[in-house]
Amino acid sequence: MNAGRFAAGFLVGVIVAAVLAAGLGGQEQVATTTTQTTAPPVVQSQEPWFQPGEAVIGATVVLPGALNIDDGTAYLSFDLVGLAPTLFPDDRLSGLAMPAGDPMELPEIWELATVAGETVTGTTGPSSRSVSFDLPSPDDEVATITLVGWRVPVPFGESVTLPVEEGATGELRRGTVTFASVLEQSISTIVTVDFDREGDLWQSWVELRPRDGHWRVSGRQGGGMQLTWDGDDAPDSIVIEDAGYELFPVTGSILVYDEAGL
Amino acid sequence: MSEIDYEELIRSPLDDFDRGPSSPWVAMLGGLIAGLIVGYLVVVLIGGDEATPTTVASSVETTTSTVPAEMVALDYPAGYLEFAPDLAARPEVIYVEDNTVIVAFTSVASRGSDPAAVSWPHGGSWLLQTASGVTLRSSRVVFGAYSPGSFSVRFPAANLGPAEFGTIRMLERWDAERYAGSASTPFAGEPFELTDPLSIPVNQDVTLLVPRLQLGRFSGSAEWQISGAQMGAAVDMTAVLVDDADEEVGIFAAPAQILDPGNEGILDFNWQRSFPNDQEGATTVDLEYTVDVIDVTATDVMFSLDDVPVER
Repeated sequence: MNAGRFAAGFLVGVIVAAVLAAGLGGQEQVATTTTQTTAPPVVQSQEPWFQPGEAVIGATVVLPGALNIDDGTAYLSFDLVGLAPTLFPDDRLSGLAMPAGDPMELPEIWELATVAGETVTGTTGPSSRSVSFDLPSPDDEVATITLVGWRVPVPFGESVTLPVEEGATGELRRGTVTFASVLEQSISTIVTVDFDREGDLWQSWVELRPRDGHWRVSGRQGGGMQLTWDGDDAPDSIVIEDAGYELFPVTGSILVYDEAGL
Repeated sequence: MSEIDYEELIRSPLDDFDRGPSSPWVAMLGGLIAGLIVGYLVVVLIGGDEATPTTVASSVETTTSTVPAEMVALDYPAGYLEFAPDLAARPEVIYVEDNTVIVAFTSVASRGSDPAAVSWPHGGSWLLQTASGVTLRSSRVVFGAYSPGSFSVRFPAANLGPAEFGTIRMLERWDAERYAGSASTPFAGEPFELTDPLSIPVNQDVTLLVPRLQLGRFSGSAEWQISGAQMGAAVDMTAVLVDDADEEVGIFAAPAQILDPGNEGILDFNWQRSFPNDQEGATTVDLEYTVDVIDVTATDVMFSLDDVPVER
């Protein structure tokens, strides 16, 4: 009879083990580990074009250099590199057209903040590659230097229409156009164009030209030019266009130097 | 038939062994334990690893993997929008004059591209929209011949008043398909004047006509006309003097300039060789040309003017 009891117990044990195993298997399914994998976030990094700490103004990159303090004056050196395209391959560039890589935007106004919280201003011109600041006291330490003003070239493409008459005058943004002389010949008409320029020279570039390509620019002098019409059928008026540009002042705030190393 | 005592036959000697009063339950308990062991082993061996519980939990466990961010370097500085291949622009300032609104842009070549190899479009069509809903269509695009990357879009706008500006959109871009080649004519010394017009097929539709070519000691000019181009073309030419051995004697070329597309024009030449500066030995003029035939590409690039300064 014990054998029978053993067999019965054995059978029950097997069943219980199976039930437990099944139960644990169910628990295993419940305990499924779900891994949520999402696409990596895309972060547009402001990766520098040339070096960390650079500042971009228009199509020009300002590359800050060394900061030196000497006898109460702080000097920050910098370089400028252009990102703008150009229409011309280098072998076709005249002396006037700017080659690719030349900076067109210019830093102009800078602000230095001392660790003590005082602010002083420095200014730079077109050929500057360093800016200097007179510190409030010789012992001051520099906290930050910020570019707060710069110039951006704007080609206006403005024009003035003048009659082909000696003394005809018209106003452009950056000066006065005058037909100083008109020489009418049997085979051509020659007009001498003077330009009386106004404003600071470095803030603009003036390049006059006739809108009508049949007027040939047969010579240039100063800001003016000589125009020639080949033939005896010169029109009564000429559209004079300025193909140059004006450096427009832009204000902003771009951190260029941070004593904290940012 | 004798009656067999089966109980006696299956009787074991151990049946007489005294296991005490609980021995029947011990047998059952032993069977139960053995069954548990065997059952467990069978499940493990047959079920394999899947049946091996490693974690017991009452709820779904979720783990989120940490995926590193993909850092993508911008192709252009902040604020610039691409409006032509490898070329992006940003509005910098708005000028409001009596009868004109001018939106000035700077542009940059894309990261890694050659700024001298990026092609500027020859123009385009733009819309300027004020905050109050007034829409202006551009009259002209002015490129900075002496300020690379800068251009201005001009809008005729009489009596606009103190408008605030919302957006500027580029609807068309005037691209160019470039064709280059040369045509030759005899040269018998300066002053040179073309006797018969040169008619040069540029492609199956477009013809370049040179009705007049003058070459002097240090300067010259060439008149050109284009036919068959829907929106005209920008034409550049150089006059190369060569001798009988096809060796170059010198070149007349126009200064580098932004060439306005049109159907006719004149190029003024200057002699490009400083030494020797004469044209002795030249017997042929090779008129080398590039013709950029203008084609319209539809675009829709919109720039916000919210933070662009306005000069009045």
